[in-house]
Amino acid sequence: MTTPTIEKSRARGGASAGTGGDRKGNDMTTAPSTKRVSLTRPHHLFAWVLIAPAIVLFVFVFIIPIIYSGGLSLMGTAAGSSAYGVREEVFVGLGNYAKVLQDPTFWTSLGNLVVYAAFLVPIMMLTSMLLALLLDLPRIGLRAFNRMAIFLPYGVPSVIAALMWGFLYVPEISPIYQLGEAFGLQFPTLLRGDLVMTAIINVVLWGGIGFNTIILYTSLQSLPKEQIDAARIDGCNEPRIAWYIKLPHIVPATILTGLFSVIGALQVYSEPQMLSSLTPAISSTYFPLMRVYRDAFAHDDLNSASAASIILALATVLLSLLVLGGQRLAARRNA
Amino acid sequence: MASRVRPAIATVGILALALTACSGSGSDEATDGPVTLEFWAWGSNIDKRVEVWNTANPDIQVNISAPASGADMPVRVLSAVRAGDGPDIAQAEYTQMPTYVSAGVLAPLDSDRKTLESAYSPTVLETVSFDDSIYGVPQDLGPALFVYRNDLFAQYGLTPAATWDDFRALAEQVRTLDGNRYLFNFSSIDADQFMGLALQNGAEWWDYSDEKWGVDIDSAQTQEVLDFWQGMVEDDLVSTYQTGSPEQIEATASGRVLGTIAGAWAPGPLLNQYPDTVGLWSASQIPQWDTADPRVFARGGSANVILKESPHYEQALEFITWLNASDEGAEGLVEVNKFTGALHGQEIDRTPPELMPEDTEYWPSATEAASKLVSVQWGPNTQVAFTAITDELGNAIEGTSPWADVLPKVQDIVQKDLAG
Repeated sequence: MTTPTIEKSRARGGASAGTGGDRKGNDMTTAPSTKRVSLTRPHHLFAWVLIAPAIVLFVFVFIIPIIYSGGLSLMGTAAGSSAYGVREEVFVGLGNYAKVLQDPTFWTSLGNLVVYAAFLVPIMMLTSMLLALLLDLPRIGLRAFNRMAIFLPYGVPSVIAALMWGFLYVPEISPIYQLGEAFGLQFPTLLRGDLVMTAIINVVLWGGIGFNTIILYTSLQSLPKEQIDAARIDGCNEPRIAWYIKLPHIVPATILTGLFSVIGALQVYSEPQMLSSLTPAISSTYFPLMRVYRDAFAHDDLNSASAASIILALATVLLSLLVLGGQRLAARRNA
Repeated sequence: MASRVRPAIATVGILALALTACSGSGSDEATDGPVTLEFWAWGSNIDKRVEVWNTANPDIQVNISAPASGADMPVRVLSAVRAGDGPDIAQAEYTQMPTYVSAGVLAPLDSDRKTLESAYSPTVLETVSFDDSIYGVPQDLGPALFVYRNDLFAQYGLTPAATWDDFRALAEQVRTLDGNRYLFNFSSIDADQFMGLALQNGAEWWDYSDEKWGVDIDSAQTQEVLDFWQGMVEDDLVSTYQTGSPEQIEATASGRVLGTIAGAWAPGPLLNQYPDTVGLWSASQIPQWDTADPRVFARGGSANVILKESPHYEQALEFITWLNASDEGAEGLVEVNKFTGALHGQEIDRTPPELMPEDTEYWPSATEAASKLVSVQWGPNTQVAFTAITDELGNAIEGTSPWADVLPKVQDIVQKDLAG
């Protein structure tokens, strides 16, 4: 008779930690007062010692580089005094930003990015949710194996994944195309023309779904068992339990992983860069980060590359704030 | 509490180590005694020549490494130089020389002018001269040749084309053969080849006059060349695999693509990549627009340059002069299958390349092609033009933007970049 209560309390603790539901609000109101009491001066000093390495690292590898590239983005080069004269560094203000924003290839690359994210993120999230719910079904065989198999592609570095898929995409050497041919099927060549977008999305999906599935599955584990039992007693079948009980429970985790996916999508680089060595269909400005790389490392134009990076970073921050703000607004409306 | 202190100390310690590691790699080379020259080069077999030098010169040791190859080298060198960690000597493709010179990182080699003028022809020395100063010691040249599978040409009764019209007819003929064969692979990534084809037709992409750069990429001559290749691509007469991609390599290895336009250095890389095809290759002169006035462009070819920051200018100059310009050096380069920039290396008798052991005509063909090289005015932003050509040609080949847009777009990009 004691086991249910233990299970209950453990389950509830897990739930509040995992989701940050209404109990978190209570924690927030009580926490500051207890903290104020415990933070005496020696503790304070010691806390600074403890976080000093993190602060030093943060300043050196984050703040200073940002300031540096901010500075770079305001500089430009002026033609030298002779034909091949050394190009001089001059202050150009926001000239680089104007140049980037006026460049049609920048907008084309952003357009590609929007298309990419618009397909990638929904497919990724829906598939991950579906897989997580399937994994969470009772009486699923080989649960550990399935979990592992779904997660494994995430462990493959994206460069390797892109190479591997790249070889599968080339009709002349791909076993998939050869198999298709044996059955008289002609698959479309994904690496040519506009279809190349599907080739890129596929590689990223393959690598990303496992990670998101595991996050959502873990979040499902914190769902109190009683709720499911109660629903079952009320006559819910598994699909209804999934729809009415499980899905609402993993909404916060889904929003978080969705946000990560969006940010990840904005930073897409290594997959298209690797695939671009296999096809002329991926230009050096296909995605914004590839364009930044081209400016910095093919054209030796760090100034323009910095300006473009800062525009991208600002856009990413803005987008994240919008998503998070929207989420908070929705949460407040629900409450 | 103690359990928390220890990780903190460990973190601080690691951080300290990391920081000292960063600052530790400053220059601490002594000026007396033996010096070690850092030499960044990707060319094949140059390490063998360096070994010869190192054995003979214990006081000037050369340490050769290849931190990047080909197109990636300039940025690698430039960022290393800016970080104060650059090499003493670097290999630079002729097309990359303007990038280095206008970045202001090269040491002028005018102190060696007399030696160089006697070792090289004026046109070759011209390619490493900028604003009347010499900035590099030429190593090898890449006069373009049409390199083709002689076994398949013989089997199907084909002969290499003398003119571009013949070339198209030949390509049409190859398409009628069995096995889905192509005469040639036209890849957008070979921007230097496209520029060369335009140069051959009389185009001049850059021009410096009245202290200003002019860009003339969108010209009638370049357009004529582009129209020719648009026809070839649209009529499926050439394949369009990305150079270096598995598709392209497979097509070459299996003989599905019969020929390529390559610099005189071609036998080396071809042998490395397709060792099973020894004896199956021959070379001929590239097709012409006007056979009365044959013109050849260069693919690749490179020089050795000395970085301004190097504390060992004298020793570095001594080494690269020996390696490339001296008779001994030129003979050594010939031995490792280079087509030398130095006249001596072009004039001496040499055995056919390993790839084509029977082909006694190969090196004479290369020398003939070299004698017809067109002179080039490289712009200071050649790399920008090359990536633009690659992107826009790629779009046209893939059908994502019209062929008519290629030249205007490239012209616009290059011009805007020059304007700063």
